[in-house]
Amino acid sequence: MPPTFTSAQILSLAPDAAAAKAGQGLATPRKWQTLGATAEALWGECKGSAKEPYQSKVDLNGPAFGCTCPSRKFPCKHGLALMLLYVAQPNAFTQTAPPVWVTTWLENRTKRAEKQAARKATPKKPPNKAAQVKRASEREAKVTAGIDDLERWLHDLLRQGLGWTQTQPPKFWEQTAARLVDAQAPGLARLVRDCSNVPHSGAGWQERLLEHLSRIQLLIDGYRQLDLLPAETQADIRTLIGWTQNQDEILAQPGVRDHWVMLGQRTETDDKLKVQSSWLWGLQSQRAALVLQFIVPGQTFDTSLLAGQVIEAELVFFPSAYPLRALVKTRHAPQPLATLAGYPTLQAATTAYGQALARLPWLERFPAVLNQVTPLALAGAWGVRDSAAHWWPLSPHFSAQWELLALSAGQPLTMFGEWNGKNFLPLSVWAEDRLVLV
Amino acid sequence: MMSTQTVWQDLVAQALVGTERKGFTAPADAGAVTAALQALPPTPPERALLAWAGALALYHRVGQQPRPAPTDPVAATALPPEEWARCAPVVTQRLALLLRGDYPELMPEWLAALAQAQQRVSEEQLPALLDLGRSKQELRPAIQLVLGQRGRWLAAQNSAWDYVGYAPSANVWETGNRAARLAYLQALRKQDPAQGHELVKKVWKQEKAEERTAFLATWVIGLSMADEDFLETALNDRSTEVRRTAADLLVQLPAARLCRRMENRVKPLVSLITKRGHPPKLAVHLPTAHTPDMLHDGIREKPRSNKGEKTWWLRQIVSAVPLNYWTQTLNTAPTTWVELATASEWRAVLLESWALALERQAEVLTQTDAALVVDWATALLKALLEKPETISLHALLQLLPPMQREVMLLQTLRVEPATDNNSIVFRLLNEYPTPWNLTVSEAVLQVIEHCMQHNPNVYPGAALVLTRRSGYTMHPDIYAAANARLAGKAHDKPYWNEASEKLLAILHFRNAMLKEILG
Repeated sequence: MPPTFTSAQILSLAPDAAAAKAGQGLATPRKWQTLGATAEALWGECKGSAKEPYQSKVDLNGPAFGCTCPSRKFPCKHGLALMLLYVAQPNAFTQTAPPVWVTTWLENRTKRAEKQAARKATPKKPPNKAAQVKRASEREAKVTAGIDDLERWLHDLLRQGLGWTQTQPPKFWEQTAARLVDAQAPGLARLVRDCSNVPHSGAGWQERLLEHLSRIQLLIDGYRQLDLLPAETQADIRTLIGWTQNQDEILAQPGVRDHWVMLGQRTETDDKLKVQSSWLWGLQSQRAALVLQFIVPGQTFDTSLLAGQVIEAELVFFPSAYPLRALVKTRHAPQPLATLAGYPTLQAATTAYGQALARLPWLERFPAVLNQVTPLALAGAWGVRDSAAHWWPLSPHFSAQWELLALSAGQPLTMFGEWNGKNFLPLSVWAEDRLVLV
Repeated sequence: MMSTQTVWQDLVAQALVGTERKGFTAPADAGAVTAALQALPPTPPERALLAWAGALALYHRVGQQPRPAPTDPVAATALPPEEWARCAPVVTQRLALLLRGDYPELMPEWLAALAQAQQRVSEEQLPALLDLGRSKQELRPAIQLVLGQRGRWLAAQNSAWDYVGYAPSANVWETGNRAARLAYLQALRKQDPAQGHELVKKVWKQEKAEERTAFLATWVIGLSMADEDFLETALNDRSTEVRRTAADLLVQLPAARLCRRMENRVKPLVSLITKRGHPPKLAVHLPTAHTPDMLHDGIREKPRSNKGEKTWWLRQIVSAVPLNYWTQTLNTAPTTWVELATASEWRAVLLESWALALERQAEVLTQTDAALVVDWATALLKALLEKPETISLHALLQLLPPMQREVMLLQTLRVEPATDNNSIVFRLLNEYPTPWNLTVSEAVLQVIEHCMQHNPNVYPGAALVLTRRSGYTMHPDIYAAANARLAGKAHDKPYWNEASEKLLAILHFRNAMLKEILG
């Protein structure tokens, strides 16, 4: 049985806002000359600017899209419209027997999927060790050269003085970042790109910029002395620079068994790639895990992890001095969450943050469950206050302050979110026996 | 020992200037971490500066302490327990759709259903709903019902939502502006008309004409004979507007002296000629002149459009005469009057005047003689369904008891063909009071089906307008039947396609949303 979709999920498949809007505009039966559906597929013919109407089809297993319109976007507005229309007015899909151009397409898809499965099942050719080693050393050389380049640029910047950066256009940072990407060090590229807004970020920008740049220098220094460092720190540095790890190798390791609850999700877009970060919290081990999903336009996120549900699972952590990122190795059916507990005071949370930093100095987001804090607006600023009258300000990127207040009604409650050393971003709230994402 | 903060500021200053000119001077004293920092390689100067900065920044971060809260909050009192249960998660999702922009016009119906089921909105949606009430004033009463204790508390925290629980204080009357005083007076009239009456009387002498007019106009709320005395004296007020307002109010009180005077005026103008052995006939004479006493009683001299002057005076007189005059004094039933008027050349004038009289007097008359109101409404409606005049059917239909109204509708639908845009069927359905029950909805569905099959090319078409509108007015339970009978049937009929799809889409949404709330 193919999964059912909500309009929100369908719209998240859109490659950009323009396609989403156009798709919604086409999601009315008037625009379609024919519409049909089976349990597996949707199809329709829509009049466009060409002589013949465009033939659009959707395979609900996937989902996957096909269309004769000339748009290069994927999925195009016609595919999105078909899906949205099917959710709102399934009766409009009057044809039940798919025409030839749909059945042929579906058959080809099945054949291709079978071929792929067969390929996966056949034992892999043992990788050419020599070629692998050559590729690895080539990359090392490229990265080393890129880092040398970066350090020269960085020191140039310090010689000029940070004041000069306020007059520089974004291109100044972009060019250096692009060179790092070419040198196969995308992680370093991101760290450079993150600096570009700082000179214009208001009071205190000088301190913030100096701190950002010094962290880059620290990473460079760490890479140059990699062999002298413990294995987990080596893994952290390589990951930060941009090396990825083989997920199959990681999954082969033993993991941490526990009851994990999903406490928060964030979706961010980096160029064409969409990243969904899901935070899991281990109820017995009292530790956080970060599960990342990457999708390209046309794919949809796996929504099997729902907020507030507890799954008994084995998670394998990526090696790190402060392990956070993990993969789900095995999992069982979800159960509802009964209770949630975390740091008893902000002092405890701050101390734990310090300890995490000592192990991983480049840590940007520290996950924390805070027991019994009260969200408040005091002296014009929003934050959370704990029982010891300490205060964490809320992140300026947080926009659901009133929702938070509605859930708390001035009383303390348990919250989960990310602390970055300066402010707190709430992601979910445990209130009256239910978990609410904010 | 120097504090590390001061060292940090020094580093920042050096970084700002740049090492080109001044190199990097490592601070000699860096407090507790001096030894560690001095172990860092000193060259090249850029690297040394960054290394010092990195180490110190990390030192500060790891050692940071949480700040104390800026001020102490007012101790939060525990809220009283909620009276209503929170709505189910599917209902919360449905509200999210409505707030996002899917069929926002269905919000009043949704809110009413939630209140009827005695459920309250989920806490995390309270801000969005309160914001909605801020921009849409007409939704405020409905929203306030489903806020729960939590919602009312939340509204009190944000001045943007102060419309919730707004109770005007007596201060407003003394010190507020005209709009605020008016709102206060209206609320007071609703609660206790006598007090509203006294309040206006108290300030009457010192208020300007504009204020006097506006305040007097509020007496339409809770109007009764207790107000008649003062209104009668107000007919002599200096201001024209005040006099007109008083007259407009007095015509709504059939027992008022003004209405008695109107009766005396109408006696010679509209009467019955009864000759033995013959059926009675109607005799109508126009008033010959516009006298000062007519002006005093609110009869205006100049008509608005180019209607005849004298006919205009007759209309004003007839529409101010108490309705029981015709039945009691001249001992003739409303149906007879209507028939007589129809047989004469005065049908339009008389029917329209009587309809206006009925509209004005219905509220007060229903308390003493409800049957009379129904009789007049029935008689007028029957005549209008046969041949319409410029009269709103809606007001008359509202005065009939629901059962009787339904019978009249079904009968009309059976008899009249809905073949062209001017058919009385469409006019009747357009003005029939909403919401419709299942029986009416079923009857309308038949009309739509019939039009769709037999009249496919009518555009813009009263039938199409009816179809589009019916999605909102039909009973949601009719969805299953409507879907079975209309879906896909209008493929080849371009405008019908769109109209019937819209009808089914709206019915589907309403049906689903009410099922979710009411279970």
